[in-house]
Parts: sequence; structure tokens; C-alpha cells
Amino acid sequence: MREIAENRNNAGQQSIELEQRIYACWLDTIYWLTREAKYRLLETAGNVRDIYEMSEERIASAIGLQNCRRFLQHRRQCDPQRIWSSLAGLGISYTCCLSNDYPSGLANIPDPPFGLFYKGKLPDEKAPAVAVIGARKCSEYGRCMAERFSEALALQGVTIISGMAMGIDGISQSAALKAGGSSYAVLGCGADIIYPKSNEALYRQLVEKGGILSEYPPGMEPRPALFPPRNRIISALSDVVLVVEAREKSGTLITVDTALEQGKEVYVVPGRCTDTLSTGCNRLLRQGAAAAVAPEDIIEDMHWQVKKPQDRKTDRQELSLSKTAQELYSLMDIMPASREEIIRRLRENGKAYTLPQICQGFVELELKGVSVCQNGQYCLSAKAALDRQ
Amino acid sequence: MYSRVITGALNGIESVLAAVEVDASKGLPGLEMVGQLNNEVREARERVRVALKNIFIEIPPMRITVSISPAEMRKEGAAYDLPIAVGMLVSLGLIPEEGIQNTLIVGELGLDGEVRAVKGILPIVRKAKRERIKRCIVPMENVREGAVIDGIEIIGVAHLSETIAYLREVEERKAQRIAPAGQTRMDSFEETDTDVDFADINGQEAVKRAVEVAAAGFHHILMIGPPGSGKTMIAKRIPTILPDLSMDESLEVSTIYSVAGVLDKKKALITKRPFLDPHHTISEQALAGGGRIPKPGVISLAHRGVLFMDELPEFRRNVLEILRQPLEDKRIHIARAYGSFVYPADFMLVAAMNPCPCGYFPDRNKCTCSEIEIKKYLSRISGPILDRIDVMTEAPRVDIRQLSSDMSNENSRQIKARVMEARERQKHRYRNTRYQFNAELGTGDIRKYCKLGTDEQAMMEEVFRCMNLSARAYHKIIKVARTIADLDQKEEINTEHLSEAVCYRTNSKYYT
Repeated sequence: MREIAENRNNAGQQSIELEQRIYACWLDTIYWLTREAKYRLLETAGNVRDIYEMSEERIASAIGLQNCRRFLQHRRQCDPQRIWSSLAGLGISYTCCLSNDYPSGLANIPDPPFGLFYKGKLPDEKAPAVAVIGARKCSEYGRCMAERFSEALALQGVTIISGMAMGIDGISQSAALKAGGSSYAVLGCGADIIYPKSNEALYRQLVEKGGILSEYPPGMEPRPALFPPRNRIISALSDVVLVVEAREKSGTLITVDTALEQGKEVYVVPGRCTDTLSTGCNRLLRQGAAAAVAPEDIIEDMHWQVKKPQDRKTDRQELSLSKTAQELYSLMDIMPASREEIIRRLRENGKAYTLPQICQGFVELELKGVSVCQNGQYCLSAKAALDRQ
Repeated sequence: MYSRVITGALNGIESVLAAVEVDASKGLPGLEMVGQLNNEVREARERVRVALKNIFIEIPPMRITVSISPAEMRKEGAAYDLPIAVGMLVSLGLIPEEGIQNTLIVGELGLDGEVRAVKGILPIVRKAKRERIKRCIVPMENVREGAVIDGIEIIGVAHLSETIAYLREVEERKAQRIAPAGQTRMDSFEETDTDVDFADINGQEAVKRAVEVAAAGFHHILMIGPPGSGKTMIAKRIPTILPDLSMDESLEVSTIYSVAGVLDKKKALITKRPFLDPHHTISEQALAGGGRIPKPGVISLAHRGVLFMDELPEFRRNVLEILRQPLEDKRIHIARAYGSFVYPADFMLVAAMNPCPCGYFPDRNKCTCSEIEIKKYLSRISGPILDRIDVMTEAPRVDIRQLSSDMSNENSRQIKARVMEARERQKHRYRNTRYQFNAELGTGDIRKYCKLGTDEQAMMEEVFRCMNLSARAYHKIIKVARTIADLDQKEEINTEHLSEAVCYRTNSKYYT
């Protein structure tokens, strides 16, 4: 305590800023205190440092008697400096709404988070950002589209923001990182918790090349109620929200709502009318969202000055396939089909191949990376589908 | 006076010859029985006494001692009734001693003297034959079962008095009283038409082919598909494409059925490949074999045939894990308080399952399961079980056009002909080894019997790398390719065979 006091006496602007951050962080780790209560406390005290020394009556008037008791207990037990150093031990940084590195996109929304815990970096304010979001249980079409858009956007220096969930979120973020771009994930749990577990590799890459952001204090376990509020951060951090695949009732639509509230552009990848996974998307289109047919559409519409990507055509190789494989390739598509279904299409075309020959064709396509076999169904790999266009 | 009657006893699937010794001597009147007998055997005393009384034979007031040897073996069942009765009559001098020379007697008695059927006649008669017994007296109902063994006289008796009359007859006229059962083993082998055939199935070409491959190499197979895609229909038809049981196999299977007491009275030999489809609520004991002295379980009844497990993930975990040893060793070892028993269990496992709890995955328009639910469902089948399944195939939903079309499908007879040819090749290849089928090949012998050319080797290396295979998956692919080559009548495995085998791999599709 004395140390902090001394520091304050003979420190410049920078240490005041750091101190403010430490106290804000201390306040923000009180997980049971609502965001509104934190802002009220700040309003009453005028300055985060003073919240720590505020009198009981003033606290009670700001957040109520019951919360006041818990708050006082917390204040007695937890030392801001200790919390700050334990966060540093976890590799987690913190920025609060008063700090100068607090993302400006967040400051302008109706309900900005009090602060952000993050691992890695905060998004670059100057780079354009697109939130790519969609269904957890996506189809191969969704996977392909998410990869295609994220890769192209990342190549042109656009930041990809998403929620690191299974399906579209994770796929688009991996694709962006793979293309050498940067990507940031906003989690619905503490920034130190990897959820879902299956995205552990992505999490580590994000920490290295981008950032993991969360409004919730470290150690917070994921709960369903925590996810909808984090969606407003995803949309706030981006300039454009791109929906790849969404069902009629999808959490993705919450992000779309917040984006519209915040005045962001919403782009939607159109899908087939018969696909339940695209019903949400198509409804958004009907309601007037912009259709994203190619990544360039977004960049053109937004008038972003981006670096020109190198021509894709140069690295496209001519496929040399056997006759059977060629035949199968022409019958396959991005929508997965069972082997039986493809054989039926083959038969309808009047081609009489034996089953072993067909199998050989399938294996050839798979080995050459043209098709993928998933859950017993075959479809073109995203790369092959793009090459064919 | 002392007498000794030969009878048979079951010990697991094996049978042993037992002797019923009876001594009638002066002393305090009574009937004493010794020799580790359990309750059913002990009750023979009452059955024998009343049955003799009811055919008007009075037991004189003597001290009668019955001992059943070997004494260290636990005896159970009612099959000792008839030998005890005969033994008593011999020791009382009512049947000449020559009458029971070299004769095995077995049967249960009713109070009126009726001789009733017992379990395990087939292994007992086989044992008797090996021990050079000349004649077996068995219950009339079991006579066909006994008669399948050649070179031994089988006499069927329906009543105790008939037995006595027969045994009293002089040797030359015995055949006139009751002729030995004349049925030969071939009578059971009459061509029986089954009402199911592969020609009934429209579409599902790939599944049918996978089944053919599995049948040819005796590989275990797993079919994954949504409800109503015909998995059960196909499984039911697998026995129709398996080669007929050979005489030895038939005896082997019939013996198990005889011990389990489920042999058909009219048709003594099992001549069709068994097909068992236990319900998924089956208990461990019913599957493996259970009881104080265990009866053969479902897996043993499926010996040399097909064990079809529909809705595999719905089986209880510990029930499924029982399959590990039988799938590896082709027999099951059951240890109980009374000793340990080994039953054969060399079956072809045909398993079917839905890809997810609701059944429609990966059709995302219909499936309502979450990713985690699907993972959980698939993980109910443990790795070790999955490892032992060589062929996996998907049975997708069939199209209405295929269902209604009257395609001329191949019938079972045509498929069976190919399967048999492939098996012939295997038989020839493994003639001096312990193997019968490709599926049994061990890792070391895979290299010996499944030689790959340079092209094939290169292809497998690429497959191994691209598809991220485990060593076990790699070997499974080669074993299955061996079978496919056999079906194709080729001694060399080529890339086409390997490609097809790759399509049947079990990992990296649902299971990664």
C-alpha cells in the first residue's frame, strides 16, 4: 500500500495510467458485479483509484446494500497489485474503458464492456476488420465458403474477428492465420480457458499471431448466458459482419442484431433454399442484407485501400487424373454425397464402371487432395471447388 | 450283487464317460447315492423308485448303494435316471449282466417309466464312439441326434419297460425288437430353400460388395447408416452367401447346440450357418455363456456363423467389451466356481449402427444432434472392438427410384459362388498353416502372404501419409486387399484391390 502511494507521488503520466489499469482490473475481476454496477461505481467515485478507497455509504448508494457487503469483503481480501501480477503470470493483459489502447470500436457502442482481458495483442485499429460468423455444425459448403472468404480477406490485410467456436468461427480464423493474416477471437469465458477443447491448436496460434479477448475475468467457465453478450463485442470490433451459414434460429443472428444496432454492415453468403443451414442466411438477404458472392465484393463496397494479393491463378496446377477419376470429379460437388449416390449419378450418365474401378477413382481423388471423405460422404475439397470455378 | 453301467456326462462342451455303479447287499434297507451329486441327480432316487414301482417291479428290502464316478466331477442333470434304474435291475439280477456289456445308457425317467430327452447326446455319443463303445441306448426323442455319428449302434427307447425288455433279449434277436436308428448324417443335409436372397435388395451396391468381401475373407464388418437403409435386411442375407457348413463344422456347431439344449428334435444336425441377432438389452451372461455350470452363450451359438449386432452402440459397454477375447482368440473362456470352461466362438461379427442418436447424420437438414452428442454416440464403441473390425461401410438412404425399380439384382447363389472360390484360394494358400482365412493373418505373416509390388508399395506409402493411418489400419487395409485379390482370382495384389480396401477402412471417416 505504502509502495503504491509512493509511486503515485513521484510518477509521471505513464505510471498514473498503469495504476488506473491495475485498479480497474481489480474492479473488473469481481465477477459477480454487473457491468452497470461497475460503471455506476466509476461515476460516483470519478476515478478508478478512488473506488478502492470509497466510503461504505457511497458504495452502498451506488450498488445497493447487499452488493456493498460483498464488495467490502472483496476489498479487504484482494490486493490490486497481487491480482495484477497473477494475471501477468497467466500471460493475460488488461485494458479498461479509460485506457488509451481501449478499442475505439467498443467505446462507441451502447453498452461497452468495462474492460477487456486479453492474451496476445489487441486488434490493430487501422486495419479493416471483418467478423466471419456462422453455424457450429456447418456443412462442407459452409466450410469452403468460410475458408475462401477468410483466406482472401486475410491476404489483403483484413483482420478476421470471430468467436473461436466449432464450425464456421474456428474454420475462418484458422484460414486467416494460415494465409498469414491476423485474427482475434472474443470468448464467452475467461481468456485463459480453451473452449471448445477441440480448438486448442487454433487457440495457441491466435495467442501468437493475433489475440484472445474476453470481457470476463480469467477462470470464468463457459456458460450459455455468457455467449450472447460477447457477440456485441465481436460486431463492435469489426467494420463488417459476414454470415456464412446460419439456421433459422441461430446464435449468429444475435450478432447480426447487435451489428445493426451498432450501425455495421451485414453481408451474407447466400445458400440454397432447401438447406436448413442456410435458411437464416437467406432470410437475412430477404430482409435486405448485402449478398457476399466473392470476397472482393466486400472490399469494393467498403472502399478499403488494401494491398493487392498476388494472382491466385499462378499457383493453380493442372490436374492430371485418370479417366475414372475425371468422371467422378465431374459428378462431385461441394455438397457431400454418399458413394452410393455418386455411383447412381454415374449410372444415370450411362457409364458402366465396376465398383472396384470406382473405388480406385475415389482413392485417387482423395490422395490428390481433390475430394474429401467425411462421415462416409464424399465431396470436393474447398481448394478443388475453387479451382474449378 | 455289484453292477456297472456306462453313461456319459457333460463337462462344458466336452463330454466324459461316467460309470454308474450299483451294489445291492444285505443290511438296513435303503437307497444311498454318492459321487458329488447335485440336487437333480439326487432326486433320481425318487424318480427311479416310483418308475420301477409303476412298471410293477418291487425293490426288495436291501441296502442299495449307487456311486457315480469319476467322483471328483460335479454331476448335474437328470440324464443319470435311466442308467441308475438299469444298474439297480442288473444288481438285483433282473437284467443279465451281458445285456449291458459295452453299452452306454443315458436318459431321464418320468414317474410312469417314460424315458425323456436329455441335453448333449451328440457329444456323448461322439465320445462313446471314440472310446469304442458298441451301443448307445438313448431316449427316443434324441435318437436322430445320436444317429448322425456313424459306426456306433444307436437304440432309441421310449419307456423303461421297453429298455428292460431290450436288454434281456439275447444278442441275436435284439435288432428284431428295436432296430438301431437308421438315419444317416446326410439326411440332415437336404437342400433347404431359404426365403431370403440378396436379389431382394435394390441399390446399396457398395454395401453388398463390402459384405461379399467380408464374407470371402471372414472379416468382421460394420455397417453405418440411417434407419431404413437396409442394414438389417442385408445382414440377414449374409448366411446365404457363406459356404455351406462342412461335415466337421456341422458336427462342431451341432455339439454346441446339443450342449445348450436347443437342438431341433426333428433335424439333428445344424446344417445351415447359424445366424444370431441378440437384442441390445442382452446381458453379459447371455452373450458369453452363464449359469453355475455355464451354458454356451449367444457368441458360441453363432460359432461358424454370423453374429449380427444391430444398433451396436445401444449395447451396454461391458457387454460389448466381452467380445474382445472371442474376436481375438475365437473362443471364450469362462471361469466359474465349479471350474473353467472353454467354448468355441469363431463367428463373423456383423454390426450395424446409426451414425448418431437421431440416425440421420450427416444429413444436416434432418439431423438434430449436436456435435458432442454424435461424438459421444460413436465413442460408445471402444477402440479395441473397432480395431478388430476390418471392413466398414456406409449404408446411405436409398432413393425411391431405386426401391421401386425392378433391377435384376444378383442373387445369393451367384455371390456365394465367388465367395467359395475366394475361400478355396485361401484354403490352398494356408494349407500347411494354422490359418484358414485372410482375416486371421498376424502382422508378421501379412508380409509373407500379402506381397506388394513396387507400385503398390508406393501407393500404400502415399495412402499412409495422406490419410494419417495407424499401423494397425495399414495392416487391415492390406489384409482386406488380399481378400479382394482372392475374389478377383489374382495371386498378386494390385492397386485396384488396395484402393477398394482403402474405401473400407475403419478410421478417418467417422472415427478419427
